[in-house]
Amino acid sequence: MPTIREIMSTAESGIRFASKLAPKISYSVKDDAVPIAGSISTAYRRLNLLENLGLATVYRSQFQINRAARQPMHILEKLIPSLIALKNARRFGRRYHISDINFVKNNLPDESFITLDYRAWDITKFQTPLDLYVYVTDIEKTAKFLKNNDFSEGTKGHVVLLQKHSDIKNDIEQVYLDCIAKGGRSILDAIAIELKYGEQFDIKGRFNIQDILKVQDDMQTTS
Amino acid sequence: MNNIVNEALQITKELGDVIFIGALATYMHTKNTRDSRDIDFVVENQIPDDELISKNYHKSMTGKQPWFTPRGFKIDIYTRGIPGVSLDKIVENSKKFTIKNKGEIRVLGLESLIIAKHKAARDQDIEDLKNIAMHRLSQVDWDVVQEITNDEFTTKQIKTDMEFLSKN
Repeated sequence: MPTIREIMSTAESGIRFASKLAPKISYSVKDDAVPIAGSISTAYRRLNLLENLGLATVYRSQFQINRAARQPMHILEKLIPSLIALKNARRFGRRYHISDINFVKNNLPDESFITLDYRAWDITKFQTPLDLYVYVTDIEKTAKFLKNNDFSEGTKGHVVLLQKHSDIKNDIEQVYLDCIAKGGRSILDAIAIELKYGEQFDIKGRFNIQDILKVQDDMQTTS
Repeated sequence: MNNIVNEALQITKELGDVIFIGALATYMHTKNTRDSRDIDFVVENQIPDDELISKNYHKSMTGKQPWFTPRGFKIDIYTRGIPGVSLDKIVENSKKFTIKNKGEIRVLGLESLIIAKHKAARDQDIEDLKNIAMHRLSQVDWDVVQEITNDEFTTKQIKTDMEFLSKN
């Protein structure tokens, strides 16, 4: 299995390419990527490197960049395990209701670890949770257990299984890194975690100042 | 989210026909989002502080001194347009939702919501747009989007992004 350093070294040209793109929601390979990469084949090679790390999503001739790609290299390095886990995540639903989450919470496999929405809510009370993300040691076994209990795998369920990569040494740091890697509303969770528990870990992500001010203001304000 | 929706009903009863924006609007259109327990809404005419105080709304003494409802929910009151959508268009394209036997709340229209989120394009906005794209793309009236943006290039870009987000 390649080391994080080796993964980063392989992906370096892709990451440099991503850093040159102006911020947009979705990009056109022809109009946005080719002028930077030089040719269509190089553009797809760069995108393929990013896609392998969960830093890009390519669909037909369009693509999206995970904004985690804009984090400094030393942070990005720490995000790799989270990015890969999220890229290979498997989503399940049964009634597409809170009861799905309660069922899984009551039947958590040994050594599982809840992260993102629910864990961030537990420790910050900043943003209400929506999806239950759980690291499990044997994703196949847990998926089978869910299917045996009438869950279906798809894109709209609220239970998400992630492959546990190694022992989690610092719970809060792990949730923080997962939040940055996932992006979207989880970025606000990451900021809230850093504001509340920043002294418990050394890694510090790069965030938009407006987002930091919003979270800071919302967290400080009491009626 | 149910307590936020109930609070929106109370606010509507107390302050009149306000138009809810932000996470509440996303939730009403998709029934699927996270929220940070604050409620944002637009009013056509500014509500004087005296009126808010007489209805037991109060101001915080910390932070940016936002208002709180009598039940302790933080609120942000907008008296102007929001990014990409003028006040007139917010009002014209707002949508009423009936809350089971309890009353109605008025919410930013789907098209205005998409335009505002596309314009802001922060991480949380992109997640909300993806959510909308996955649940409501077929209901978007692109003529209304064009009417609000009044710019064919912007409308085309929004449509391209929404179609992409719906598939990924």
